[in-house]
Amino acid sequence: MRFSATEAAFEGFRIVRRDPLAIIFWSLAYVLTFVAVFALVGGQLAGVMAQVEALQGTEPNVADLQAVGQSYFTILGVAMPLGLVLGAVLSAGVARAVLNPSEKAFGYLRLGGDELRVLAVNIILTIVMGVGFFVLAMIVGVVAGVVAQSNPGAAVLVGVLLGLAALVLVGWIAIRLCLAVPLTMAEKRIAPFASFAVTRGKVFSLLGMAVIALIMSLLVSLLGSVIALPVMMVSGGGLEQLAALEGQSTRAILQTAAPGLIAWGIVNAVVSALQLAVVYAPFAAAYRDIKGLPYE
Amino acid sequence: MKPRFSFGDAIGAPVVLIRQRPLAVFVWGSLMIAMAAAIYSLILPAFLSLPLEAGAQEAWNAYTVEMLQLQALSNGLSLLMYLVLLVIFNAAGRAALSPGVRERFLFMRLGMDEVRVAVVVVGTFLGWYIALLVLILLGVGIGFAVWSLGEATAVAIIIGYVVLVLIATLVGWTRISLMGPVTLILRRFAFAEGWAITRGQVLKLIAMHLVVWVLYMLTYLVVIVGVGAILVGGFLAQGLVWPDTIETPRDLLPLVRAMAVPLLAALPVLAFAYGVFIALMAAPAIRAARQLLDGVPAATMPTDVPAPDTLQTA
Repeated sequence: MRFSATEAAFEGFRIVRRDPLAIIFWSLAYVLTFVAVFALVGGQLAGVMAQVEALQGTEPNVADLQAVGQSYFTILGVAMPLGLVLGAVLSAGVARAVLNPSEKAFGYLRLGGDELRVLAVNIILTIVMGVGFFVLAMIVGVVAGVVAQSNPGAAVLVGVLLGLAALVLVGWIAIRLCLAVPLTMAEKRIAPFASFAVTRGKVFSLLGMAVIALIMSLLVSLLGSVIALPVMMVSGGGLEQLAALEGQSTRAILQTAAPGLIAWGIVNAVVSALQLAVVYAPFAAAYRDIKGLPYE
Repeated sequence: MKPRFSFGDAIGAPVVLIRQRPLAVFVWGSLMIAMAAAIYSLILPAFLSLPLEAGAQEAWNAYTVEMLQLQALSNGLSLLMYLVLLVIFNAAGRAALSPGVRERFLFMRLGMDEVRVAVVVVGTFLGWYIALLVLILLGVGIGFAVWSLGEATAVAIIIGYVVLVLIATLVGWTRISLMGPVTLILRRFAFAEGWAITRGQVLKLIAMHLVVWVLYMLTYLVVIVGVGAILVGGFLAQGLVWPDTIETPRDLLPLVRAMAVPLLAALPVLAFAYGVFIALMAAPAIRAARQLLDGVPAATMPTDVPAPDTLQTA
């Protein structure tokens, strides 16, 4: 099949139309993760909400910020590993929906070798991109600093030009690596950089596809917030209500704020699942259209 | 032969649309007025309960919470208003392309055409905005770099650069201005076609947009005068007097109640005017795009042809 950026960009909508049940499963995955995070660090979450609210409009001191940071890192310590696993399971699920549409049980979601490989690829790429960005930022800073020794005015221009060039380079690398997850799923191997070969000569098409997919995801999010509004009004609000429940146990928080939290969780889960399909599926479709289906 | 468009046809397109489909124009405008009315009906009662008494701190706190909730609701309604605006803009575009054709719901649809046009509008705006941001950043860099050449030289270079940026952004905006209409016409993403058909048409398109803006402002003035006349006439005919002292917004309530009839009488005028604005903004560009795509004014748009996008099953 010939790769068309504008065709591939709609793959997420096509999945939703072909198999709406998948969205339910993906939403459930979000809800279960949210419930797990809330059960483990619900108290700290309420604490952070109240602390941040209390700091608004004041001059926070170091102790205040340390307290917020401590609570925040506790939450992050639980939420990040769960988030990474959820991300791997869901991105693998979306890729499976495109590459192996017959494997539709559990909304294409599994927890097996594919997911572990995707998790590994995601972690490797996140580290590589983070380190690469840091190195580029250092180079820009050092070169601009060196130029500033002789001509401070020219250093600003050099900084701007090199900064823009660095952003273009990072964007180019990100596009070259964007088929890593579908490639991992299709070829069943950990090859985070093999995407380079597949994306050769297709950078602009893939960039256009990604931009269209991101804008569509933004539109889905905006529509979601319109739909969420009456739900939140009826159910009593989302996470904001937690601020008033600082210091209470998870059980007490649930007794007071359960309807609002459940509504918030469900609406966010469905919108996130839709966004997931809209954003991730085009890349799997691009891989399929460039390389063909894995069993062909 | 280079594709061309008729300036007169493009500028005359809204007039033709309004003359041929006054009901549709009125309904499109009414929908927008209904959305605006829904937002104001939420906000105005909150203003009426504004606690102005000195020392009413608790009342203020409760009022602030209420206002925040209302703001969230009005933000949601504003998003809904943009959605309605998108649907109506596309409807006006379809209607302008299809003279003599009848369509259910007055050309209003909620489908993939709307998704595509929304993506193109947001995408072109973002692209233009990012390009402008980059040019400004470069300008800052150039400004610092040339400052050592002497103040007069630096100022001259900076002014030259600013003029260049203004021209570049205007030309850039004009080159992308038909991407939305072309996407609606071709029923697929048409970034490349939208860019290509504006080549060599920049000055004519700028002139078209300028004339549309002047017409918009003139229409706006006429509407303001018309609606103002209805409201002032209603006020004077009832012998109403503006209160000497207004301590709270509630003091204006009797006046608002007395003016309900003139306000209601002004609503159809406002609704039709809004429909006219939509026709004025949508029709010229879509007519110009149609003519640039095929060189001659198209009689009809193939409204029943399925869109060639990815929602078709293979």
